Amino acid sequence: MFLALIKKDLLLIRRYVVLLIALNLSVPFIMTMNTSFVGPMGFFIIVSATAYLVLIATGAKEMQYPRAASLLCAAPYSRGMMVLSKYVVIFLPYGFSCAAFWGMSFLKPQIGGMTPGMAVMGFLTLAVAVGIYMPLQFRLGYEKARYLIMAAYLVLVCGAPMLSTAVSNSVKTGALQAFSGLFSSAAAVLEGTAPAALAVGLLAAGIAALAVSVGASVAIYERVDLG
Amino acid sequence: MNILEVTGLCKSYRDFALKDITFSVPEGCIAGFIGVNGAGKTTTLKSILGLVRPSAGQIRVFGLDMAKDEKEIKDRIGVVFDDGQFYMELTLKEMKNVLAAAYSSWSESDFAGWLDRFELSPRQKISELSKGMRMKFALALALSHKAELLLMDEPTSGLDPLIRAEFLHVLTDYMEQGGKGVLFSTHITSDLDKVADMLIMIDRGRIAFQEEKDALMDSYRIIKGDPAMLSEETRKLFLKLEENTFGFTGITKEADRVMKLMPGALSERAAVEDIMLANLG
Repeated sequence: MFLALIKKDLLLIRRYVVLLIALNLSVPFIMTMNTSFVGPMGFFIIVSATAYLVLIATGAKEMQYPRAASLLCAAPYSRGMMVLSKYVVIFLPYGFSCAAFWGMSFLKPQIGGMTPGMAVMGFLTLAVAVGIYMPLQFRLGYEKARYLIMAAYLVLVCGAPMLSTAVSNSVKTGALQAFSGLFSSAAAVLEGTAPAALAVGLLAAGIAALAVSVGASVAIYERVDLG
Repeated sequence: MNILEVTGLCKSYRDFALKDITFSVPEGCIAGFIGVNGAGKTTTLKSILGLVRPSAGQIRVFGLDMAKDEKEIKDRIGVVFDDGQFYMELTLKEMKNVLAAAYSSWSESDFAGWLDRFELSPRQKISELSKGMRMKFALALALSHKAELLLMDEPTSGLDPLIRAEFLHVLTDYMEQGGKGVLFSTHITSDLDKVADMLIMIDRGRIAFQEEKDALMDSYRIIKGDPAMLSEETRKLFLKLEENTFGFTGITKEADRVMKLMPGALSERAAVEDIMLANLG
Protein backbone atom coordinates (compact mmCIF):
# COMPACT_ATOMS: atom_id res chain seq x y z
CA MET A 1 0.00 0.00 0.00
CA PHE A 2 2.71 2.43 1.09
CA LEU A 3 5.01 1.31 -1.71
CA ALA A 4 2.29 2.13 -4.26
CA LEU A 5 2.36 5.77 -3.15
CA ILE A 6 6.14 5.92 -3.46
CA LYS A 7 5.99 4.27 -6.85
CA LYS A 8 3.36 6.78 -7.94
CA ASP A 9 5.64 9.72 -7.10
CA LEU A 10 8.58 8.09 -8.83
CA LEU A 11 6.45 7.51 -11.92
CA LEU A 12 5.36 11.14 -11.91
CA ILE A 13 8.96 12.38 -11.79
CA ARG A 14 10.37 9.72 -14.11
CA ARG A 15 11.41 12.35 -16.63
CA TYR A 16 13.66 13.89 -14.00
CA VAL A 17 15.17 10.55 -12.99
CA VAL A 18 17.45 10.51 -16.03
CA LEU A 19 18.54 14.04 -15.17
CA LEU A 20 19.22 13.02 -11.57
CA ILE A 21 21.28 10.04 -12.62
CA ALA A 22 23.24 12.17 -15.11
CA LEU A 23 23.81 14.82 -12.43
CA ASN A 24 25.11 12.29 -9.92
CA LEU A 25 27.40 10.61 -12.40
CA SER A 26 28.77 13.64 -14.23
CA VAL A 27 29.07 16.40 -11.65
CA PRO A 28 31.77 14.65 -9.53
CA PHE A 29 33.97 14.49 -12.63
CA ILE A 30 33.32 18.12 -13.50
CA MET A 31 34.14 19.13 -9.96
CA THR A 32 37.64 17.68 -10.14
CA MET A 33 38.48 20.59 -12.44
CA ASN A 34 38.30 22.84 -9.39
CA THR A 35 40.04 21.38 -6.36
CA SER A 36 38.01 23.43 -3.89
CA PHE A 37 34.91 21.41 -4.85
CA VAL A 38 36.31 17.91 -4.43
CA GLY A 39 35.66 15.76 -1.38
CA PRO A 40 32.93 16.65 1.13
CA MET A 41 32.05 19.97 -0.52
CA GLY A 42 31.39 18.26 -3.85
CA PHE A 43 29.33 15.59 -2.14
CA PHE A 44 27.15 18.13 -0.32
CA ILE A 45 26.59 20.09 -3.51
CA ILE A 46 25.45 16.95 -5.35
CA VAL A 47 23.26 15.77 -2.47
CA SER A 48 21.57 19.13 -2.03
CA ALA A 49 21.04 19.61 -5.79
CA THR A 50 19.53 16.12 -6.09
CA ALA A 51 17.22 16.61 -3.13
CA TYR A 52 16.19 20.04 -4.38
CA LEU A 53 15.33 18.65 -7.80
CA VAL A 54 13.23 15.84 -6.32
CA LEU A 55 11.53 18.23 -3.93
CA ILE A 56 10.69 20.66 -6.71
CA ALA A 57 9.63 17.93 -9.14
CA THR A 58 7.28 16.14 -6.71
CA GLY A 59 5.83 19.42 -5.48
CA ALA A 60 5.26 20.63 -9.05
CA LYS A 61 3.45 17.42 -9.96
CA GLU A 62 1.10 17.71 -7.00
CA MET A 63 0.44 21.30 -7.98
CA GLN A 64 -0.24 20.20 -11.56
CA TYR A 65 -2.86 17.69 -10.37
CA PRO A 66 -4.19 19.34 -7.20
CA ARG A 67 -7.35 17.23 -7.07
CA ALA A 68 -5.68 13.87 -7.48
CA ALA A 69 -4.80 13.85 -3.77
CA SER A 70 -8.57 13.92 -3.08
CA LEU A 71 -9.02 10.71 -5.04
CA LEU A 72 -6.28 9.02 -3.04
CA CYS A 73 -7.69 10.31 0.26
CA ALA A 74 -11.14 9.07 -0.77
CA ALA A 75 -9.52 5.63 -1.02
CA PRO A 76 -8.33 3.95 2.19
CA TYR A 77 -5.02 5.81 2.14
CA SER A 78 -4.51 7.78 5.34
CA ARG A 79 -3.22 11.30 5.08
CA GLY A 80 -0.33 10.34 7.36
CA MET A 81 0.72 7.67 4.91
CA MET A 82 0.57 10.13 2.03
CA VAL A 83 2.75 12.61 3.92
CA LEU A 84 5.28 9.96 4.92
CA SER A 85 5.58 8.72 1.35
CA LYS A 86 6.65 12.22 0.24
CA TYR A 87 9.52 12.20 2.73
CA VAL A 88 10.62 8.75 1.61
CA VAL A 89 10.58 9.80 -2.04
CA ILE A 90 12.84 12.75 -1.23
CA PHE A 91 15.29 10.61 0.73
CA LEU A 92 15.47 7.73 -1.75
CA PRO A 93 17.76 9.61 -4.17
CA TYR A 94 20.01 10.44 -1.23
CA GLY A 95 20.93 6.75 -0.99
CA PHE A 96 21.65 6.77 -4.70
CA SER A 97 23.79 9.91 -4.40
CA CYS A 98 25.90 8.30 -1.66
CA ALA A 99 26.36 5.11 -3.66
CA ALA A 100 27.14 7.00 -6.86
CA PHE A 101 29.69 9.29 -5.19
CA TRP A 102 31.32 6.33 -3.49
CA GLY A 103 31.49 4.39 -6.76
CA MET A 104 32.77 7.40 -8.71
CA SER A 105 35.53 8.06 -6.17
CA PHE A 106 36.89 4.61 -6.97
CA LEU A 107 36.92 5.34 -10.67
CA LYS A 108 38.50 8.76 -10.23
CA PRO A 109 40.33 9.13 -6.91
CA GLN A 110 40.70 12.92 -7.40
CA ILE A 111 37.00 13.20 -6.52
CA GLY A 112 38.00 12.43 -2.96
CA GLY A 113 36.90 9.53 -0.83
CA MET A 114 33.43 8.97 0.51
CA THR A 115 33.43 8.53 4.29
CA PRO A 116 30.58 7.45 6.61
CA GLY A 117 30.95 10.86 8.26
CA MET A 118 30.15 12.59 4.97
CA ALA A 119 27.08 10.39 4.53
CA VAL A 120 25.89 11.20 8.05
CA MET A 121 26.54 14.92 7.71
CA GLY A 122 24.77 14.92 4.36
CA PHE A 123 21.82 13.17 5.92
CA LEU A 124 21.67 15.60 8.82
CA THR A 125 21.86 18.63 6.53
CA LEU A 126 19.15 17.22 4.29
CA ALA A 127 16.99 16.22 7.26
CA VAL A 128 17.09 19.75 8.65
CA ALA A 129 16.45 21.42 5.26
CA VAL A 130 13.66 19.05 4.23
CA GLY A 131 12.36 19.05 7.79
CA ILE A 132 11.82 22.80 7.60
CA TYR A 133 10.53 22.91 4.04
CA MET A 134 7.97 20.10 4.03
CA PRO A 135 5.64 21.38 6.78
CA LEU A 136 5.76 24.76 5.05
CA GLN A 137 4.76 23.15 1.78
CA PHE A 138 1.86 21.29 3.39
CA ARG A 139 0.75 24.47 5.16
CA LEU A 140 1.20 27.05 2.40
CA GLY A 141 1.16 24.95 -0.74
CA TYR A 142 4.01 24.28 -3.12
CA GLU A 143 4.08 27.67 -4.80
CA LYS A 144 4.07 29.85 -1.69
CA ALA A 145 6.51 27.58 0.16
CA ARG A 146 8.92 27.75 -2.76
CA TYR A 147 8.74 31.56 -2.85
CA LEU A 148 9.26 31.72 0.90
CA ILE A 149 12.34 29.51 0.72
CA MET A 150 13.68 31.54 -2.20
CA ALA A 151 13.10 34.74 -0.23
CA ALA A 152 14.88 33.25 2.79
CA TYR A 153 17.75 32.20 0.55
CA LEU A 154 18.03 35.70 -0.93
CA VAL A 155 17.98 37.26 2.52
CA LEU A 156 20.74 34.85 3.53
CA VAL A 157 22.87 35.57 0.49
CA CYS A 158 22.39 39.33 0.67
CA GLY A 159 22.69 39.38 4.43
CA ALA A 160 25.85 37.27 4.61
CA PRO A 161 28.32 40.10 3.84
CA MET A 162 26.62 42.35 6.39
CA LEU A 163 26.59 39.54 8.93
CA SER A 164 30.25 38.83 8.24
CA THR A 165 31.16 42.48 8.83
CA ALA A 166 29.07 42.60 11.97
CA VAL A 167 30.71 39.45 13.31
CA SER A 168 34.25 40.67 12.63
CA ASN A 169 33.43 44.02 14.28
CA SER A 170 31.95 42.22 17.24
CA VAL A 171 35.02 40.04 17.58
CA LYS A 172 37.15 43.16 17.57
CA THR A 173 35.07 44.76 20.28
CA GLY A 174 34.84 41.53 22.27
CA ALA A 175 31.05 41.44 22.08
CA LEU A 176 31.09 37.87 20.78
CA GLN A 177 33.39 36.52 23.43
CA ALA A 178 30.57 34.81 25.28
CA PHE A 179 29.47 33.08 22.06
CA SER A 180 32.97 32.12 21.02
CA GLY A 181 33.44 30.59 24.48
CA LEU A 182 30.31 28.52 23.90
CA PHE A 183 31.49 27.38 20.46
CA SER A 184 34.91 26.50 21.85
CA SER A 185 33.29 24.37 24.53
CA ALA A 186 31.05 22.63 21.95
CA ALA A 187 34.03 22.00 19.68
CA ALA A 188 35.99 20.56 22.61
CA VAL A 189 33.12 18.20 23.37
CA LEU A 190 32.91 17.09 19.72
CA GLU A 191 36.65 16.62 19.47
CA GLY A 192 36.62 14.49 22.60
CA THR A 193 33.84 12.27 21.28
CA ALA A 194 34.67 9.07 19.40
CA PRO A 195 33.89 9.42 15.62
CA ALA A 196 31.46 6.48 15.66
CA ALA A 197 29.53 7.89 18.61
CA LEU A 198 29.47 11.30 16.93
CA ALA A 199 28.13 9.77 13.71
CA VAL A 200 25.42 7.91 15.60
CA GLY A 201 24.55 11.10 17.47
CA LEU A 202 24.29 13.12 14.25
CA LEU A 203 22.26 10.39 12.60
CA ALA A 204 19.92 10.32 15.59
CA ALA A 205 19.63 14.10 15.44
CA GLY A 206 18.70 13.90 11.74
CA ILE A 207 16.10 11.20 12.39
CA ALA A 208 14.70 13.22 15.30
CA ALA A 209 14.46 16.33 13.10
CA LEU A 210 12.64 14.33 10.46
CA ALA A 211 10.31 12.74 13.00
CA VAL A 212 9.32 16.16 14.30
CA SER A 213 8.88 17.43 10.75
CA VAL A 214 6.76 14.44 9.67
CA GLY A 215 4.62 14.87 12.79
CA ALA A 216 4.10 18.55 12.02
CA SER A 217 3.35 17.85 8.33
CA VAL A 218 0.81 15.15 9.20
CA ALA A 219 -0.89 17.43 11.74
CA ILE A 220 -1.08 20.20 9.12
CA TYR A 221 -2.25 17.94 6.28
CA GLU A 222 -4.91 16.31 8.47
CA ARG A 223 -6.59 19.71 8.78
CA VAL A 224 -6.33 20.70 5.12
CA ASP A 225 -9.58 20.75 3.13
CA LEU A 226 -8.86 18.96 -0.12
CA GLY A 227 -10.19 20.30 -3.38
CA MET B 1 -31.43 -0.28 6.91
CA ASN B 2 -29.66 2.95 6.00
CA ILE B 3 -26.38 2.48 4.19
CA LEU B 4 -25.49 6.18 4.69
CA GLU B 5 -26.67 8.55 7.40
CA VAL B 6 -25.64 12.19 7.57
CA THR B 7 -26.78 14.07 10.66
CA GLY B 8 -26.39 17.76 11.49
CA LEU B 9 -23.48 18.29 9.10
CA CYS B 10 -22.13 21.84 9.18
CA LYS B 11 -19.20 23.37 7.35
CA SER B 12 -18.46 27.06 7.03
CA TYR B 13 -16.40 28.93 4.49
CA ARG B 14 -15.99 32.68 4.18
CA ASP B 15 -18.87 33.08 1.72
CA PHE B 16 -20.71 29.76 1.95
CA ALA B 17 -21.88 27.33 4.60
CA LEU B 18 -23.48 23.93 4.87
CA LYS B 19 -26.12 24.23 7.57
CA ASP B 20 -27.42 21.26 9.50
CA ILE B 21 -27.37 18.82 6.60
CA THR B 22 -29.34 15.72 7.53
CA PHE B 23 -30.34 12.93 5.17
CA SER B 24 -30.00 9.19 4.71
CA VAL B 25 -29.67 6.69 1.88
CA PRO B 26 -31.31 3.30 2.46
CA GLU B 27 -29.77 0.07 1.20
CA GLY B 28 -30.94 -0.82 -2.30
CA CYS B 29 -31.54 2.79 -3.23
CA ILE B 30 -30.14 5.12 -5.88
CA ALA B 31 -30.40 8.54 -4.30
CA GLY B 32 -30.12 11.57 -6.55
CA PHE B 33 -28.50 14.52 -4.84
CA ILE B 34 -29.72 17.56 -6.71
CA GLY B 35 -29.18 21.27 -6.53
CA VAL B 36 -27.94 24.10 -8.69
CA ASN B 37 -24.23 24.83 -9.06
CA GLY B 38 -22.84 26.12 -5.78
CA ALA B 39 -25.70 24.71 -3.70
CA GLY B 40 -23.32 22.55 -1.65
CA LYS B 41 -23.47 19.13 -3.33
CA THR B 42 -19.73 18.68 -3.74
CA THR B 43 -18.92 20.05 -0.27
CA THR B 44 -21.41 17.61 1.23
CA LEU B 45 -19.92 14.66 -0.65
CA LYS B 46 -16.40 15.72 0.28
CA SER B 47 -17.44 16.04 3.92
CA ILE B 48 -18.86 12.53 3.81
CA LEU B 49 -15.52 11.29 2.49
CA GLY B 50 -13.51 13.29 5.03
CA LEU B 51 -11.85 15.34 2.31
CA VAL B 52 -13.09 18.50 3.95
CA ARG B 53 -13.40 18.60 7.73
CA PRO B 54 -16.94 19.41 8.91
CA SER B 55 -17.29 21.80 11.83
CA ALA B 56 -20.15 19.72 13.24
CA GLY B 57 -22.24 16.67 12.49
CA GLN B 58 -21.99 12.93 12.27
CA ILE B 59 -21.53 10.64 9.27
CA ARG B 60 -22.37 6.97 9.56
CA VAL B 61 -21.78 4.55 6.71
CA PHE B 62 -22.75 0.85 6.95
CA GLY B 63 -23.63 1.64 10.59
CA LEU B 64 -20.02 2.68 11.29
CA ASP B 65 -18.86 6.10 12.43
CA MET B 66 -16.72 7.82 9.80
CA ALA B 67 -14.75 9.61 12.51
CA LYS B 68 -13.66 6.29 14.04
CA ASP B 69 -13.72 3.76 11.22
CA GLU B 70 -12.64 5.88 8.25
CA LYS B 71 -10.33 3.28 6.72
CA GLU B 72 -12.82 0.41 6.89
CA ILE B 73 -15.60 2.58 5.50
CA LYS B 74 -13.49 3.88 2.60
CA ASP B 75 -12.49 0.32 1.79
CA ARG B 76 -16.16 -0.36 1.05
CA ILE B 77 -16.97 2.84 -0.88
CA GLY B 78 -16.51 3.48 -4.58
CA VAL B 79 -15.95 7.08 -5.57
CA VAL B 80 -16.43 8.82 -8.89
CA PHE B 81 -15.53 12.51 -9.14
CA ASP B 82 -16.70 14.81 -11.90
CA ASP B 83 -13.45 14.88 -13.86
CA GLY B 84 -11.91 11.72 -12.50
CA GLN B 85 -9.24 13.65 -10.57
CA PHE B 86 -6.43 11.50 -11.88
CA TYR B 87 -2.71 12.03 -12.43
CA MET B 88 -3.21 12.58 -16.11
CA GLU B 89 0.26 11.57 -17.28
CA LEU B 90 -0.02 8.07 -15.83
CA THR B 91 -1.39 5.22 -17.87
CA LEU B 92 -4.63 3.54 -16.86
CA LYS B 93 -2.66 0.61 -15.50
CA GLU B 94 -0.32 2.82 -13.47
CA MET B 95 -3.22 4.77 -11.96
CA LYS B 96 -5.04 1.54 -11.24
CA ASN B 97 -1.97 0.15 -9.45
CA VAL B 98 -1.87 3.17 -7.16
CA LEU B 99 -5.51 2.81 -6.16
CA ALA B 100 -5.79 -0.98 -6.20
CA ALA B 101 -3.08 -1.28 -3.53
CA ALA B 102 -5.31 0.61 -1.10
CA TYR B 103 -8.31 -1.73 -1.28
CA SER B 104 -8.49 -5.06 0.53
CA SER B 105 -11.01 -6.56 -1.92
CA TRP B 106 -9.56 -5.35 -5.19
CA SER B 107 -10.46 -7.68 -8.07
CA GLU B 108 -8.17 -7.66 -11.10
CA SER B 109 -10.65 -9.77 -13.05
CA ASP B 110 -13.48 -7.31 -12.33
CA PHE B 111 -11.27 -4.44 -13.44
CA ALA B 112 -10.22 -6.22 -16.62
CA GLY B 113 -13.89 -6.98 -17.30
CA TRP B 114 -14.88 -3.33 -16.93
CA LEU B 115 -12.03 -2.13 -19.17
CA ASP B 116 -13.13 -4.66 -21.73
CA ARG B 117 -16.75 -3.56 -21.53
CA PHE B 118 -15.77 0.10 -21.82
CA GLU B 119 -13.24 -0.62 -24.59
CA LEU B 120 -10.36 0.94 -22.69
CA SER B 121 -6.74 -0.15 -22.96
CA PRO B 122 -4.66 -0.27 -19.76
CA ARG B 123 -1.68 1.03 -21.72
CA GLN B 124 -3.40 4.27 -22.69
CA LYS B 125 -2.36 7.48 -20.99
CA ILE B 126 -5.18 9.11 -19.03
CA SER B 127 -4.43 12.44 -20.70
CA GLU B 128 -5.26 10.84 -24.05
CA LEU B 129 -8.76 9.84 -22.95
CA SER B 130 -11.85 11.84 -23.76
CA LYS B 131 -13.97 13.05 -20.85
CA GLY B 132 -16.43 10.23 -21.42
CA MET B 133 -13.66 7.63 -21.41
CA ARG B 134 -12.18 9.14 -18.25
CA MET B 135 -15.51 8.80 -16.53
CA LYS B 136 -15.78 5.19 -17.67
CA PHE B 137 -12.31 4.57 -16.23
CA ALA B 138 -13.37 6.23 -12.96
CA LEU B 139 -16.42 3.98 -12.86
CA ALA B 140 -14.27 0.90 -13.59
CA LEU B 141 -12.03 1.79 -10.64
CA ALA B 142 -15.00 2.40 -8.37
CA LEU B 143 -16.63 -0.90 -9.27
CA SER B 144 -13.59 -3.17 -9.05
CA HIS B 145 -13.24 -3.52 -5.29
CA LYS B 146 -16.66 -4.87 -4.31
CA ALA B 147 -17.86 -1.42 -3.20
CA GLU B 148 -21.15 -1.47 -1.33
CA LEU B 149 -21.78 2.25 -1.67
CA LEU B 150 -21.06 4.43 -4.68
CA LEU B 151 -20.57 8.14 -4.11
CA MET B 152 -20.56 10.06 -7.35
CA ASP B 153 -20.09 13.77 -7.83
CA GLU B 154 -21.56 15.02 -11.11
CA PRO B 155 -20.42 11.90 -12.97
CA THR B 156 -22.50 12.59 -16.06
CA SER B 157 -21.87 16.31 -16.52
CA GLY B 158 -20.30 17.06 -19.88
CA LEU B 159 -21.00 13.59 -21.27
CA ASP B 160 -22.93 12.92 -24.46
CA PRO B 161 -26.36 11.22 -24.19
CA LEU B 162 -25.01 7.85 -25.38
CA ILE B 163 -22.33 7.63 -22.70
CA ARG B 164 -24.77 8.94 -20.08
CA ALA B 165 -27.22 6.20 -21.01
CA GLU B 166 -24.46 3.57 -20.73
CA PHE B 167 -23.43 5.03 -17.38
CA LEU B 168 -26.98 4.77 -16.05
CA HIS B 169 -27.24 1.23 -17.37
CA VAL B 170 -24.12 0.26 -15.41
CA LEU B 171 -25.66 1.75 -12.28
CA THR B 172 -28.81 -0.29 -12.74
CA ASP B 173 -26.71 -3.46 -13.17
CA TYR B 174 -24.75 -2.60 -10.06
CA MET B 175 -27.90 -2.23 -7.98
CA GLU B 176 -29.22 -5.57 -9.19
CA GLN B 177 -26.42 -7.30 -7.25
CA GLY B 178 -28.29 -6.38 -4.06
CA GLY B 179 -27.10 -4.84 -0.79
CA LYS B 180 -25.75 -1.76 -2.51
CA GLY B 181 -26.47 1.96 -2.43
CA VAL B 182 -25.69 4.97 -4.62
CA LEU B 183 -25.56 8.68 -3.86
CA PHE B 184 -25.38 10.50 -7.16
CA SER B 185 -25.00 14.26 -7.24
CA THR B 186 -26.03 16.01 -10.42
CA HIS B 187 -27.68 19.02 -11.87
CA ILE B 188 -28.67 17.04 -14.99
CA THR B 189 -31.96 15.95 -13.52
CA SER B 190 -33.12 14.00 -16.57
CA ASP B 191 -30.66 11.25 -15.56
CA LEU B 192 -32.43 10.94 -12.24
CA ASP B 193 -35.83 10.71 -13.91
CA LYS B 194 -34.55 7.42 -15.31
CA VAL B 195 -32.72 5.74 -12.43
CA ALA B 196 -33.24 7.41 -9.06
CA ASP B 197 -35.35 5.89 -6.31
CA MET B 198 -35.02 8.86 -4.01
CA LEU B 199 -34.27 12.53 -4.42
CA ILE B 200 -32.45 14.76 -1.96
CA MET B 201 -32.31 18.43 -2.80
CA ILE B 202 -29.83 20.90 -1.39
CA ASP B 203 -30.25 24.63 -1.82
CA ARG B 204 -27.90 27.31 -0.49
CA GLY B 205 -26.29 24.86 1.91
CA ARG B 206 -29.53 23.51 3.36
CA ILE B 207 -31.51 20.36 2.60
CA ALA B 208 -34.71 21.46 0.86
CA PHE B 209 -36.29 17.99 0.79
CA GLN B 210 -35.64 14.26 0.84
CA GLU B 211 -38.37 12.10 -0.64
CA GLU B 212 -38.94 8.98 -2.66
CA LYS B 213 -38.91 9.99 -6.29
CA ASP B 214 -42.29 8.53 -7.27
CA ALA B 215 -44.07 10.08 -4.29
CA LEU B 216 -42.36 13.38 -4.99
CA MET B 217 -43.29 13.31 -8.67
CA ASP B 218 -46.88 12.53 -7.76
CA SER B 219 -47.11 15.41 -5.33
CA TYR B 220 -46.17 18.11 -7.85
CA ARG B 221 -48.10 19.07 -11.00
CA ILE B 222 -47.45 21.52 -13.79
CA ILE B 223 -50.57 23.59 -14.49
CA LYS B 224 -51.00 25.50 -17.75
CA GLY B 225 -53.83 27.80 -18.71
CA ASP B 226 -55.09 31.20 -19.71
CA PRO B 227 -53.84 34.10 -17.55
CA ALA B 228 -57.48 35.16 -17.09
CA MET B 229 -57.98 32.05 -14.93
CA LEU B 230 -55.53 33.35 -12.33
CA SER B 231 -56.85 35.11 -9.24
CA GLU B 232 -55.30 36.29 -5.98
CA GLU B 233 -56.39 33.01 -4.38
CA THR B 234 -55.04 30.69 -7.11
CA ARG B 235 -51.73 32.52 -7.42
CA LYS B 236 -50.91 31.63 -3.81
CA LEU B 237 -51.25 27.92 -4.62
CA PHE B 238 -48.28 27.96 -6.99
CA LEU B 239 -44.70 27.51 -5.90
CA LYS B 240 -43.51 29.09 -9.13
CA LEU B 241 -45.54 30.86 -11.77
CA GLU B 242 -44.57 32.20 -15.17
CA GLU B 243 -46.98 34.33 -17.18
CA ASN B 244 -47.06 35.92 -20.57
CA THR B 245 -49.82 37.23 -22.85
CA PHE B 246 -50.50 33.76 -24.28
CA GLY B 247 -50.79 31.81 -21.09
CA PHE B 248 -49.30 30.82 -17.75
CA THR B 249 -47.28 27.85 -16.52
CA GLY B 250 -47.06 27.12 -12.83
CA ILE B 251 -45.98 24.33 -10.53
CA THR B 252 -48.02 23.39 -7.49
CA LYS B 253 -48.27 20.82 -4.72
CA GLU B 254 -52.01 21.43 -4.46
CA ALA B 255 -53.12 20.30 -7.88
CA ASP B 256 -56.59 19.10 -6.78
CA ARG B 257 -57.45 22.48 -5.29
CA VAL B 258 -56.05 24.36 -8.28
CA MET B 259 -58.02 22.21 -10.73
CA LYS B 260 -61.22 22.76 -8.76
CA LEU B 261 -60.69 26.50 -8.93
CA MET B 262 -59.56 26.40 -12.58
CA PRO B 263 -61.45 23.53 -14.24
CA GLY B 264 -60.30 24.49 -17.74
CA ALA B 265 -56.58 24.41 -16.93
CA LEU B 266 -54.24 21.72 -18.18
CA SER B 267 -52.46 19.52 -15.62
CA GLU B 268 -49.18 17.73 -16.48
CA ARG B 269 -46.70 15.57 -14.61
CA ALA B 270 -43.73 17.60 -13.36
CA ALA B 271 -40.16 16.62 -14.20
CA VAL B 272 -37.40 16.50 -11.57
CA GLU B 273 -36.00 19.72 -12.99
CA ASP B 274 -39.35 21.52 -12.52
CA ILE B 275 -39.48 20.35 -8.91
CA MET B 276 -35.91 21.44 -8.29
CA LEU B 277 -36.50 24.89 -9.74
CA ALA B 278 -39.74 25.25 -7.75
CA ASN B 279 -37.86 24.62 -4.52
CA LEU B 280 -35.06 27.13 -5.02
CA GLY B 281 -35.00 29.68 -2.24
